[in-house]
Amino acid sequence: MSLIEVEDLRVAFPKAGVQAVRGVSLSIAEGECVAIVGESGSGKSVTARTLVGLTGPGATVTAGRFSVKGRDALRFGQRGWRRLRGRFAGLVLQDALVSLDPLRRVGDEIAEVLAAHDVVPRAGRAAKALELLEAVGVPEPELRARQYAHQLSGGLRQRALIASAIAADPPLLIADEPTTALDVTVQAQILRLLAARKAQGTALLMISHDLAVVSSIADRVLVMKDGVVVEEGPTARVLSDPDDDYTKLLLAAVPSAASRGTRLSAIATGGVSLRTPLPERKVDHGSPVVEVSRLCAAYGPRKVVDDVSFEVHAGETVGIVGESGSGKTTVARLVLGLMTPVSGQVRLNGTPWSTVSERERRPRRSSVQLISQNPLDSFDPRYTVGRLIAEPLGGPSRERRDRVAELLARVGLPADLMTSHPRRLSGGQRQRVAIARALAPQPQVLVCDEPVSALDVSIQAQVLDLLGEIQAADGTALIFISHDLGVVHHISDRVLVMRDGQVVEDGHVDEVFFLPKHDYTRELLGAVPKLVSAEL
Amino acid sequence: MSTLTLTRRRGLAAAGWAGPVVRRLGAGVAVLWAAATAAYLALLLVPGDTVDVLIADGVDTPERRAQIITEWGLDRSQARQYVDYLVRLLHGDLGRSYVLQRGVGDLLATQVGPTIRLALTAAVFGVVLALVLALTTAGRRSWFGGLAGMSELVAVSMPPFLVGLLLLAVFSFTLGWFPVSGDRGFVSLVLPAVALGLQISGVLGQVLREGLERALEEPFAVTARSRGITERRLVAGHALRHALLPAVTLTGWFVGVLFGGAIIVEAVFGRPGLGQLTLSAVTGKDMPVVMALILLSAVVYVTVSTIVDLSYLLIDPRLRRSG
Amino acid sequence: MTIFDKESAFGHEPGRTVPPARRAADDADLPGLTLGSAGEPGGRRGGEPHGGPSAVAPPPPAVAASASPASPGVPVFPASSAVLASAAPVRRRYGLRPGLVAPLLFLVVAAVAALAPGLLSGTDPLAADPLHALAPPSAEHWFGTDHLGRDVLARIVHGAGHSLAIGAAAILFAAVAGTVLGALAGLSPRYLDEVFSRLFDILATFPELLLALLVISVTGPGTGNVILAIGLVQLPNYARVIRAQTFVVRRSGYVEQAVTFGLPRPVLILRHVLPNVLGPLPVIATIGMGTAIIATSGLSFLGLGPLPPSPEWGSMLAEARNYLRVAWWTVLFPGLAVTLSVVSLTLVGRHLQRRFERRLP
Repeated sequence: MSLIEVEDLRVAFPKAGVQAVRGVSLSIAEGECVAIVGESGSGKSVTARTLVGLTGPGATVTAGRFSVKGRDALRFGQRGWRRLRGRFAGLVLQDALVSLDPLRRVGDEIAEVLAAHDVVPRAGRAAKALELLEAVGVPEPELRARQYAHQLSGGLRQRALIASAIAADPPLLIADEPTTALDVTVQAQILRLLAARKAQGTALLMISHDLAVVSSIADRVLVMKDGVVVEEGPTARVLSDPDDDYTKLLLAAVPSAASRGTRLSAIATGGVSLRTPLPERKVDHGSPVVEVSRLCAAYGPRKVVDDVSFEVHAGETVGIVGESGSGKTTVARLVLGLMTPVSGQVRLNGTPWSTVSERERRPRRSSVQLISQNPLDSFDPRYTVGRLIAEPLGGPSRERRDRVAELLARVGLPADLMTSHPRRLSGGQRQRVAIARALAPQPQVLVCDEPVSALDVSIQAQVLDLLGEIQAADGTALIFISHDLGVVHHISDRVLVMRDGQVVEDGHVDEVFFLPKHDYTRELLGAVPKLVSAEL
Repeated sequence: MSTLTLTRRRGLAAAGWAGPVVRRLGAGVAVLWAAATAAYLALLLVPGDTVDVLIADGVDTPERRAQIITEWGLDRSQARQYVDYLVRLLHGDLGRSYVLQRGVGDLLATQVGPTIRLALTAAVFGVVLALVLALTTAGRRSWFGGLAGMSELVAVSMPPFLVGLLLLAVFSFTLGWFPVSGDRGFVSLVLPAVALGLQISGVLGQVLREGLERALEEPFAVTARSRGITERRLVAGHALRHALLPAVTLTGWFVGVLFGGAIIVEAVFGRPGLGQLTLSAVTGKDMPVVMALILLSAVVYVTVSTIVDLSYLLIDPRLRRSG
Repeated sequence: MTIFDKESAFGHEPGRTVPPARRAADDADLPGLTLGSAGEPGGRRGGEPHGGPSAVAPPPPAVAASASPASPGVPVFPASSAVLASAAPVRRRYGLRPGLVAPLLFLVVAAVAALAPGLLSGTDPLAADPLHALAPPSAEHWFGTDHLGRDVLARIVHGAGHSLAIGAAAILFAAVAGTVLGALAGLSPRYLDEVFSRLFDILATFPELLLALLVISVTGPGTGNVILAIGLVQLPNYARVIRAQTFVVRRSGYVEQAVTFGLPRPVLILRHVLPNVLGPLPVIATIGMGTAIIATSGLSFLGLGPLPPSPEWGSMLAEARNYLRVAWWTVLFPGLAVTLSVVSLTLVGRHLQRRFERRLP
């Protein structure tokens, strides 16, 4: 029997003039795992929340049929929904740091569900909460129950959030991007936990932007785009033999070892997506542009970079991978000369860089430029696109207008964006503006710190392709920092695997990723969710 | 709740309280010292000879002058005078008012009672009114919410003495419900407390409502709703604590409003209290009293803000640091 | 109570890699509102728009602006643009709202009264007419007359110059001095900043009225001294907000980015830090001016303001309180003048605040 059956679900936010969901049909059977995959704005989250009546204020929900446990959900009032929430369906959101009340103890948060549905008498709730924490694999449950969300690690708090969602033993668990904020090894653990829940008979509705994440766990996949389901079917079939062009595009856009040297944003024509090669890059194996030797850095007493050495040549891409706190961003700051190392040094074009005074560094700064994760943060909030790009050229002026237009054209943006404000642009456009600005002073080295992490996969593909083209044309050296091993494998020539400030392994990317020597590299690689269908 | 007792048994230090508590107490002492110094500087800044300044409108005799010079150690070096002054303060000696011919400590002791009564009544009234308004209107777009918002705006935009005058005009002169002036029991406390409390409820009401509305939109509120709890429980169990955080930071400011407002409201309603004392001291340039009042307000402020900071720690565990 | 803002300013340990979804969280435009949304919807990973409640994380409570209890009238709040964006997706796109017309109109009239009172009232505000003392409002005296038979309307119009000018001057003083000190603190090395902020803390310690009274007890009453007193009282508000803002801007991504362009430090500060630091200033100055007007009237009510017979709103009220029983108009109209000025300033200030918050990334 189906737990939930929805036909022609439509959700609109009339005040905002948005039609978030436009005719979605969906059913979830007992014990089944259904995944909705889509990029931001596809309406996947709204769909999921509507299923528990939490669409939010100002939304109008209509459906041809909307039955929950055989009852007509369109006629539910607040009370009707409340009885179902937690008891019939538990909800797990993205980031437990903010999805658990930061001012309340973890144990109390879990007990709240028990109290709301009176599943356990008052006296037994604390004990039951401990039991639940233990069940989701939280060690030392007594300690954790009286701690607050911020005192738990990312993985533990996500487990605690799951414990609160399953406390009243609901037959359905809705997980909205449950692993997106997590490091890859922790993500693997949470996915295993969800899979175990499924094995015990709980139905799962997974919402994710990442096909690979759901591929190992979902029985069926729905691919959503612009509020519509464009493709639906058993997971293996959708991944290996997609019907819809958009699904193909999504699959082709996923960077991996196999996509090296080819374009990711291939345009699917006639139902066939072909990998077209990127222009050839020439790596200059002469003297390196950047030489990092035995670099150590610390914030106060805490050592964050410990004895890191590497070289980058013109035209080459060096990837740096690692989980949060591994020190990769600090390496970027050191290379950029934004921070002074404790010991060791960075040399640029064979001359000292990190050890000289800021006065000496200043005239050479144009040769190392930064592309950061969140471009909006890196834009002066008062500036227009034109002024932003003109700044490294020496400020806006009539003569520089043409140069700015030229740079915009290089990153595939029209010149009339010059007068717009970055806040008005989409995420992909913003990142292109950031790239245009970084290219303006004709740098020899681009430091890219998680440049595509905040982007949807199809946009990520375009940005990665753009970087590849630029590198081929200009012979720029790239230092590419990312937590995403697929992206790094796709774009890098050599790779450094970092952990706790140290480089645990480095070498040619294929060598490191196919024949890892260090245990940690193996652990990382093992944790990466793989598309079950392998490569196209 | 068992978790709470556990924390207690583990002690404050273990719960990450020790550091913040010590830091705040240290800051409090620093503020007190600075206030004492500021008061002393004010005395020096008043134009004219210090002895003249201290006597002000009091009786000026050679004996009195000699007495002042010994009392304040004015024949010693500047640095020594300052240190002596601090030492006297540490002993609780606030000096004498030569205008009123009394010890300043005594003066304060007789006047502080009515003011505290007024301030506390006003605070209770203001806080209760703000809570009621915020809880009944948060997150709901209704005519009542709009009206409450507008009246809060008007309440904070009116000088407290104007509120007092209007209340007098309506409730004392027209309706005759409350006495016009004086301090005779609770009845005479009502109008002054309302006049003073409205200021607080206006600001606090806005802060609480905004805090509640913000909290109700956060992800943890979605999670809490997804557990099937009622909206009422969501507000009481989750949102209110979040809304209290910004409100608590304003407590120090409220103390200032109460203290400063009391001066004016006491003048409007002809009540005895620190307000009258302050006014007469300022207009009569009775510096020993003015200095003592500065110290008193600093003590009150430090006490309140230390309590506030600690309650902040109580409400928001994220501010406690372990280790 | 800024004890907390150090912590919040350093809340994110430098160099810590923030997981992408958390970082990108503040970017919460609804898809329909993002230009070019078709192919590239707002660059976020994960969380999607869903009407009201936002799945994204507003920053932890005490963000820069909120760390300093702002100007009392109405506290300036941290700009959690995510919340704003989802709460008011449509409203935020339009500039002038109908609720703003009345306050602006009132302020224009008040400004005219302050600068050229003759245009609004030809009557001499000081001309006493004991025969017509305490006359109720009539065609001749729209707002009635006071106990000396002076025209209340004329006194209110001419009083604007005193009441509003004192408020404006005090705020100007507080804002300029506060900004300089706050920016200095924010740009200084840590130990100096510590000294500065303790100083602001201590200045903010005193109840406002008491500090003003202290200044006046040293300097004596009078217009200039009232300006000094109220300005000093307000100064720490500005200094603290500007300091906190300087902290945020100094460590912002765009300033760091500008460093990589090889801009020298003075250029950085003038081009990127200061202009962005000054952003909230008009907001708190507008709202602060309301507070200053209240404080001015309070001081004159106590007889410590501009010396009589200058027609100042507060001193008009002080004189009128003795005739409250017989001549309500002598209290009501000056009272309305004060209240409406403050309400108008606050409304305009809030509007500026909303516009300012919208600008934040």
